[in-house]
Amino acid sequence: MAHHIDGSRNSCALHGALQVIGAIEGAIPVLHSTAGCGAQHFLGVNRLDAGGETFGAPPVSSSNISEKHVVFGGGSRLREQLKNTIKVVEGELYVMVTGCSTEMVGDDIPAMAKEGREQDFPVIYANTPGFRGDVHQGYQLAIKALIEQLPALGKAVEAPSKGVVNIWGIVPHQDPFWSGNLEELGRLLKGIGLEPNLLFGYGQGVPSWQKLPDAHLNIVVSVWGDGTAKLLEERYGTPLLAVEGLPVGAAAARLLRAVSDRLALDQQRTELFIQSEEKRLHTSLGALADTYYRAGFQREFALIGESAQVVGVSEFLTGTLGLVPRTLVITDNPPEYAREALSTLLKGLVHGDRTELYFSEDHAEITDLVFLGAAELVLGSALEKSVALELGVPFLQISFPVADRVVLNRCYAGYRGAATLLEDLGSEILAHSYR
Amino acid sequence: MSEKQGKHIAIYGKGGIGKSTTTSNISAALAEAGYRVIQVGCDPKSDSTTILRGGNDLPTVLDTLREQSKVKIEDISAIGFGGVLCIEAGGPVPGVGCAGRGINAAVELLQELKLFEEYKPDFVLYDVLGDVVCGGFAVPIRDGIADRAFVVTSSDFMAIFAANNLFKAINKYAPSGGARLGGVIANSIQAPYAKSLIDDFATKTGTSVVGYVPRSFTVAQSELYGKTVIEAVPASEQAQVYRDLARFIDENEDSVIPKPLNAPELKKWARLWGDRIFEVEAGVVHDMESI
Amino acid sequence: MKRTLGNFSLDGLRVYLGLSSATAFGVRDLVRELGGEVVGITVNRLDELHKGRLEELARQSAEMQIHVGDGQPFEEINIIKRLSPDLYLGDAAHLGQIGRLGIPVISLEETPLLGYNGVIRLAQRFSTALQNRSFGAALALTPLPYHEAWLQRSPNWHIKKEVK
Repeated sequence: MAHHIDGSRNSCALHGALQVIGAIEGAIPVLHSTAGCGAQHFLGVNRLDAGGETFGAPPVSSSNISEKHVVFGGGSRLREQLKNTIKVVEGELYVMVTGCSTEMVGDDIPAMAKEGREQDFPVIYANTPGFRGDVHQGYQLAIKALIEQLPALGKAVEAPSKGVVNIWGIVPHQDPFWSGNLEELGRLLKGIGLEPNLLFGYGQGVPSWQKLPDAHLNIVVSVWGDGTAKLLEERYGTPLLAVEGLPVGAAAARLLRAVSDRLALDQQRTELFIQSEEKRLHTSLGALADTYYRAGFQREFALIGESAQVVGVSEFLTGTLGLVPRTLVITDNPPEYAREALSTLLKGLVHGDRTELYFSEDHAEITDLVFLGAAELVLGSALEKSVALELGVPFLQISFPVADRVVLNRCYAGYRGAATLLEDLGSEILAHSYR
Repeated sequence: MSEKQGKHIAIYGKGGIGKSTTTSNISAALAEAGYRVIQVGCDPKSDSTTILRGGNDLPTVLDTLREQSKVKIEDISAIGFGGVLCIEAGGPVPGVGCAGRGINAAVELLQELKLFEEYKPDFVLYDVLGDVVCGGFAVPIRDGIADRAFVVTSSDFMAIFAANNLFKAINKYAPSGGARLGGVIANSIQAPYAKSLIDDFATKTGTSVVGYVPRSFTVAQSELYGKTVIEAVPASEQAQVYRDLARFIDENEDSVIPKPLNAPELKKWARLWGDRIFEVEAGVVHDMESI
Repeated sequence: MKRTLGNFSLDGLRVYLGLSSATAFGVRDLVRELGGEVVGITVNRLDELHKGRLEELARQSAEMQIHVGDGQPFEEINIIKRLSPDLYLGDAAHLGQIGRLGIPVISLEETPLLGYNGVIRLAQRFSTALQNRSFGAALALTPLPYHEAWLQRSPNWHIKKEVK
């Protein structure tokens, strides 16, 4: 049944596509839609993401179509916008993305991209009207467009490198710690002798995308990477490895062992690396121990976030940090098949006498659930700040939107992410007890 | 919108069915009877009013809107036969843009320009592409535009199909203040079964036929001269048919919410008529048969 | 109180207390009320004021270990490892070392015991600590700062040696 969603944290497909393009060095979006679409993205995503933009708030070129373009078609407006963008904004790749109105009208974007390429401009396109779904769909649509159309640009790629693995499923900005999380996963994979292809963020440009067919494995850390990995399996025969969620702490060892197994890497090297990482984390845990007990870290918590994050963070909080899950809310609206899998998975991973798992993207509903659960600790988005205040409990912002934190390279994935999470969460608990 | 000036009538029908010819002749007949009439063509082909204005050029509302930011009524209208004010909404070239939104934008502009308050018409006729392919083409029958809609149909199944679709649209909009159906205009009546077929369709859908326009060479000839029958051959029988239609529209205000047939019903109905027509052609005679 | 605490109890659980003398005896009563057994107490000091309670304790359970020592964690760890209680309740500075033994630890520093609400909060802490022991398990992966040999000896071993 149709129902209205209060304060959704999932913006639209167009925004997901803009987030993908904005996270690739040298890729410039050219938005073909009404003026509000770009502005909405700025207000609803960029502005809530202090430090999250790799290259500063990206220059989003937009055709800003008006009624006459709807009636007569906006093709010529887009042509003009594309040409001017290429002249004004420096880039290696221009990606046209469409909003709802231009898709309703049926402007012929593929023809426009072809026209651009015939003039030797590096132009591709993605059809990303908001009515095709939310930010997660946009992430997949834009990636699909890149995978399918980049080869047509026909640039020579250097000889394939050894041990390349791609990582999928972390949606830039929708995971506020996307850049740091990718880098940490990359660091770990490098540690067992691989060459991670992060595809998004610092140092990740068009060449990274051109080498993705060379990968030996596509690692998928959320349901939102499934489609991409399957596409690459069909297209290039690259096998895929899906892990349960964003690995935080000990879960990273599972990922490394699985990858190592699958690619028949040097097991001894893998184990040594895991050992050194675990030792480091356990030393941190030991250093924290007195404070942990003194300040009573061991509490019931509420965790609100995307599926991969809820899985990863709750496993760490429960499995290593000894906290007890009370209210878990998954907000990224995963498909039905994934919901069942997530419920089963979480039942096995996290234990609590009173644990409840919900799927919701409705701010009002989430607030009620968290309030009624009355956990002693809340981890969520800026939208949960008020309910945490109302409960009078410590609160840490870890999911989108993170409004009042600067996030540059901070990560909550892997071993470093586990330690950072410990620092941040512990600081909130201490700050709260000294209040 | 301020108080509505005149009676607003929308005339729908499948493309090529003779809808513009019928509408123009009704406009001409109403003008001949002394009324102030506006005819608005709501079809991207923008040839609704051609025979009212001797085939002269008329910039469409949308073309004008595209070229200039400020549009005046004079820029987008022409005075045709009997003083009928002719307007063409226009639209994009085929295959580009959104013609439906174009209709919407054009009708909106006419309201903004206070056309009806200024011109004070007795009748406004909207001649609309009748396949009602999307919401834009239903604009004239939404609340606040036309009061009544008429559908022009021949006995061809596809024309009936289009009429049935219009009934669906009326059925949707009428309860919330949209136009109701004035009736069915049967056009190009030639085959012996045509009248019965259209009558039967009207009965099945809870409507009635308000006029039968026979297929006529007079119409074709007049069109070639860029004129309506009323103007070209005013004394003809065909001209009288249109005058009767115009009088009906003027004097009779009855309207209904039609009951469109659903897909299987329509299919069944069509098959039944297929069999009957075959029997007529083959000379099979049934008792009590009304054909 | 029983109603609010629901089914919560410390039935059959062996508890070690590490508190000031004044608090320790009160908490011991509470633990017993909840069905638990206090198997040992570390207090920082004893004086005339506590003499009566102490004698009474000794009468009630002769086996209960009473350890008096301020700032002597190595002795306390030795005793606790030996006793292996199910729960540690205290406000010592070296809680992390006790956690490393795999024993659930509750600090009273952030859990004021005053009044009815205090007991409710304490019960919540008991519940979470007993429910999830993973932090202690993780801590156990790093070693205690003591020689294994010391932990095998009597906690008074070093004192005897010095007297000789």
